[in-house]
Amino acid sequence: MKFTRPLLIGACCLLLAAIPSRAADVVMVDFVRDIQPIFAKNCYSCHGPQKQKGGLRLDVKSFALAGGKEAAILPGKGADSPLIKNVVGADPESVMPPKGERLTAAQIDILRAWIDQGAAWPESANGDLSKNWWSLAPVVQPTVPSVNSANALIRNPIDAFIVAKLTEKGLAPSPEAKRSTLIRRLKLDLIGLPPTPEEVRAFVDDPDQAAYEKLVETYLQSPHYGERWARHWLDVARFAESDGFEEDMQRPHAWTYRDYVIRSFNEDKPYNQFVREQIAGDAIAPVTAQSIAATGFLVAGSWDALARVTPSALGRLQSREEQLEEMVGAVCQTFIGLTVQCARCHNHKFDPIPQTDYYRIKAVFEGVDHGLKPKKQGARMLLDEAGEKLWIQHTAPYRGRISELEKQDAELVKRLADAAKDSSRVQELKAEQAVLHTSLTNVRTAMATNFPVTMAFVGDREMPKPTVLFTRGDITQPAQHVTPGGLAVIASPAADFGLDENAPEGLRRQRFAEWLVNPAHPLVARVAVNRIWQYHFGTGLVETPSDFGVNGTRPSHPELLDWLAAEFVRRGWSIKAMHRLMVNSAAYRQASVPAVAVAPFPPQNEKAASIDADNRLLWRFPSRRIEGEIVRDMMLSVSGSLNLQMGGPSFAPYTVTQLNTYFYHLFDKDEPIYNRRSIYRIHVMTARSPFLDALDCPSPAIITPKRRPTTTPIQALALMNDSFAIRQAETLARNLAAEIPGVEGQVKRAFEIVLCRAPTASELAASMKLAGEHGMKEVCWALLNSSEFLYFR
Amino acid sequence: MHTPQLITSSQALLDRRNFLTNTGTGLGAIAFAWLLGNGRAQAAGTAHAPHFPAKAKRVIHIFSPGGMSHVDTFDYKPELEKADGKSLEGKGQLDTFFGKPGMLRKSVYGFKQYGQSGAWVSDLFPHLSTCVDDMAIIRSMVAKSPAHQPACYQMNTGFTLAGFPSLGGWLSYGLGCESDNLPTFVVLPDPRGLVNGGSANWSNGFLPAEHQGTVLDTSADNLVADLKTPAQITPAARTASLGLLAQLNRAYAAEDPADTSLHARLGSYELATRMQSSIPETVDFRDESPATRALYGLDHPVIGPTARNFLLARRLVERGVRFVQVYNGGALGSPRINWDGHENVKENHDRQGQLLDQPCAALLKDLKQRGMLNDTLVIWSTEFGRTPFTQGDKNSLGRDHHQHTFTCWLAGAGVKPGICFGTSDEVGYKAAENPVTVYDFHATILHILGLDHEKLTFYHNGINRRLTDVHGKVVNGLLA
Repeated sequence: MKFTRPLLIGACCLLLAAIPSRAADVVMVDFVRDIQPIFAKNCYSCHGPQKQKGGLRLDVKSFALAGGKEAAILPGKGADSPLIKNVVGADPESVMPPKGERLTAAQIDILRAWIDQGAAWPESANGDLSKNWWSLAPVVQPTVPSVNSANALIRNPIDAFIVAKLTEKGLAPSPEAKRSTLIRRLKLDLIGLPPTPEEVRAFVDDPDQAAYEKLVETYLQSPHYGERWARHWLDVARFAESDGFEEDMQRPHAWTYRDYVIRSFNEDKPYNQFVREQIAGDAIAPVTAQSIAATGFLVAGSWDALARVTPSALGRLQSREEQLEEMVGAVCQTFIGLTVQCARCHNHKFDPIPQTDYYRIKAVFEGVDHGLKPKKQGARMLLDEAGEKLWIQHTAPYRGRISELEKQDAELVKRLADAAKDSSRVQELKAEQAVLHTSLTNVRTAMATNFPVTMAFVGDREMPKPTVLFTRGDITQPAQHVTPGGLAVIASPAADFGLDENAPEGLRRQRFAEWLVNPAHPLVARVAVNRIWQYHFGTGLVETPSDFGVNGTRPSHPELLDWLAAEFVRRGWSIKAMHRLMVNSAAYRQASVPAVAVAPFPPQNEKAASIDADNRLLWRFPSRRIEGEIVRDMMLSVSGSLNLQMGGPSFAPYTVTQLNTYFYHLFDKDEPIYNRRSIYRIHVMTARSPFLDALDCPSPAIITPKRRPTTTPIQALALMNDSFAIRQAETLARNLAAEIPGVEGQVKRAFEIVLCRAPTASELAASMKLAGEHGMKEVCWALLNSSEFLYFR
Repeated sequence: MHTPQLITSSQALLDRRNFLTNTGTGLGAIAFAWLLGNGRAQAAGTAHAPHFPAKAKRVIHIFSPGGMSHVDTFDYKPELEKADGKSLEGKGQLDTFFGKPGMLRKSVYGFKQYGQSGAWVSDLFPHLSTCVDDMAIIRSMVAKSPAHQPACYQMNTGFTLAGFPSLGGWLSYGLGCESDNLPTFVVLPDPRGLVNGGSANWSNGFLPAEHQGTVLDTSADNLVADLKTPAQITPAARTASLGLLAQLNRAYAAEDPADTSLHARLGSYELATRMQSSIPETVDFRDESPATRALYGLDHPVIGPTARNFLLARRLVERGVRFVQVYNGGALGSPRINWDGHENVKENHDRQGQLLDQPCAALLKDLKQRGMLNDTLVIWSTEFGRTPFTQGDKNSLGRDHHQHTFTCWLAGAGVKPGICFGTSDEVGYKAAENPVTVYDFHATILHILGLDHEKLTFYHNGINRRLTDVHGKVVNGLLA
């Protein structure tokens, strides 16, 4: 008996139900046509992407065939398969579906027949969740679309992709922004500092057609470029200079990682090397001081030192597992944009990442720890034996001094308690204590920084025990051993590293790094170019920069993303090459707001706003609030107070007391070392700056792939009243007075310095009136508080 | 991944920029609603509807860090009294933080029954014991960690790791702001000092920064950071410079009308200016009656500073603050200013208990007599309990950290009054009947506020995050 295909479609269930069972041997059940719809309609709500009752998931082949608590589908044995038993409903306790309509007899028959026939499930029918998922497919560089360049300026292939999409929607890009806008945008974006009035003038007056491209080169060659772009990377790397948790101990050598990142950006280190060094720079030859410092990435997150020394064995193990989850999470989200850590307790609920994958990657990092060796006054580092001896020698005199000072401090605390009721005495003692604390900090800093050997906070390495998979992530339920490897779902590069469970520690990370930077890897380049795009254009082509999985968003311009990813690898993984492409594009150079002079602009704006209010298609340049660190740098820059000293230990605007826990007492001082760029302000978790906090600077402990600017009254108070902001306004006013006689000239110059433009007539009048009545510092205050200063467009 | 969108008329006007950071969650977008209107802050327009009708509109959370001993306070254990001095058997290997389990030790205080509910409370709390008929005492709490910081983080943020939004942050995000001149979420630190981890305990985590707790420190020169206009700036000068600022900001905003964040900036300065007077007004207690002052113990030399915070909590919620967290304890360390009674539980708890007892009882009574307990939820919690046995040798007077069972209580709106829920085993070592995890505790609190803990989500870094991670169930037995 043969059915032709057209006859089967739509009628198959009925027909199958009607035919005798022998005939079913002949008719092959088609999974996509016959089975998947039954699963989707009746089963997915409890056994699909959202829920996996009993651990069973029926929308992904590997999960469905693996079953839940027990196997559900026994290929070849329909009648014996629990899935069939349950839908038949022999046992009323376990009948499926438990609520709503039961399956019809015809549906049950076809399910049984499908299993009897071997439960064939074609790879192509693995839903969205396997190799079909866009970000897991190999990158193939698409051809650049040809567009009619009469309608829009095409400066490079990026524009072709952007304009093609806009044209589809009947839209066009905006005209190029004026030069004074462009230079401010470009310098803030690439360097994070405002252009001086002289720089603006020179650029605006430059007759060279390639003036803009020259400017791009100048800024990319500036050493301050690295400081700006390292800041972005440190957000992703959750870079911290203290442990967090109960003690929040400082990490005096963590800055070496920060400097490594700045240097790497400035050198335009190929991204594949950048990745390799951060994963395994201490294990891949040639090992250098820089490549060792790079591995600070692995241990940059917070760490519960106390929970690792509790006598409770379970407590220690639990804490260690949390630490490794943090590490695996940070590594995978940063480089491959997948939430692998979600598979610690169960198969990933959205992405094709089985639980074993989590443990394979955990096995890669199983030998990395924040620090098991004795604490060395806050420095835990990778030192050989000779280094350790040197350290002990070096610190001896300092340690003596420190313990002496600590003794004095303890006594002061006692005296303070005794004097509690005598407020003048308390004040005296507190002053004494402040002096003492400063000495303590100074001695500690000197000890840490004067060491002749550069040390880096990179944690410890040890040969790990075989990695064990924990059922449901529960440390009391160890299951099978797992060997180091990558993600199984990625076909190439191979996920099997050929390592067994006793593979040497460093080799594991080396293989993992090689796996990542293999040009065939579908995720690494895509994730990287998307991050670069996001920082230039405000939003990534994929809006969720650390999630390229099913729960993330789809790219707005998939072809452009792939074109860039391929181009990135083709150009030797050069980040600066990507910057050049992006900031030289017409898309980047277009205006953000209509210039009144351009007549056809406003109607286009209105239409575009109605079609694409979010500006995902980039019909104008997306303006944005500038990050808190850069706001601070800008304030220092315009007041002339910025200290551009690069690198080295962070500045720490606080005194420290230590009573088991470290307490950080912030201060605000107008001294050059505290006027360095914000990236050099120490990233201690409980010593965050309220001023930077109010401007949305994230806690160092949090992986922040994307900042979320907010507007709050607390932020307004910080900008209005913080002693730092007030001081910059006063300093600027003082400088203007020294430089320029007469209020009018001072106001004009202030606008040029702060806003990169001349004041309008009414602004000039209002400012001169304010300056006359209350002083120039009030005008400067208003300028530093203005939206125009805090945003760029 | 998609929670039901709560649509308000103002949604269309929301700042696209912020809105887009969190499409798919709805609530986050609406949280920006209060920023709307050219400088016009709208009290009513800023709050948003919960998932279902709420029993409570506001919360006061009293947090006693350090680990209050349950067997010496709210969890009476006659069997422990009998077993005093014996070793604890039959519970498997005793796994404690400092690893030195000593001998079982009876409560260091006597216990009596109180109120109509007949709840047992120790002699440590002569005042609080008179409030038991308003409380639902949970004696079967279970925490995830025996270490302070992870356990504190869990109680405050649901997670044992740093970096997650606090309960107050989630409520701010979920319910928005009711006040037009005070922050949504206010933190009152113990007058003796900040708790360990500081702001991580009231962090917005990955939620937008407006959901961070604002520290109001009545002992500091600036009640709230940067609240005061610096002395060198005269009021006239400030008014005049705000005028120029408004002119600049209006012009800049007019060039790009679609960017509502620019309009919100104008409003934020007005709000900030209003806070400069509303916050000092809130901490000015001159209008409180002598009876109220006496009730809280405001003029008591020892408990006075703490009492001020409890009274302030009432004044803040009265003025529409959504979530007030009162700290009854500071950082760990030496000398201890929290409940971490390792060395001598009695000496430690005597001191801490005195600070908590009268002010906290006064707060409950004050709220009740003003009718505010009808729509205010009061939470009292600590991060874990203490071991029913001593820490260390026979002569030890201290108790170690203990996460397997401890006590917390709820009172006020939505809470079944006068009950004891759940039990610990005969000596208070493990939760026995109806264990309540911190996840369950949080799920129940959100439920009382009208929020479904599985639906209050925020997309961050690849995951739709919840206060309750992937756990938690509402404890119906606690609900009125």
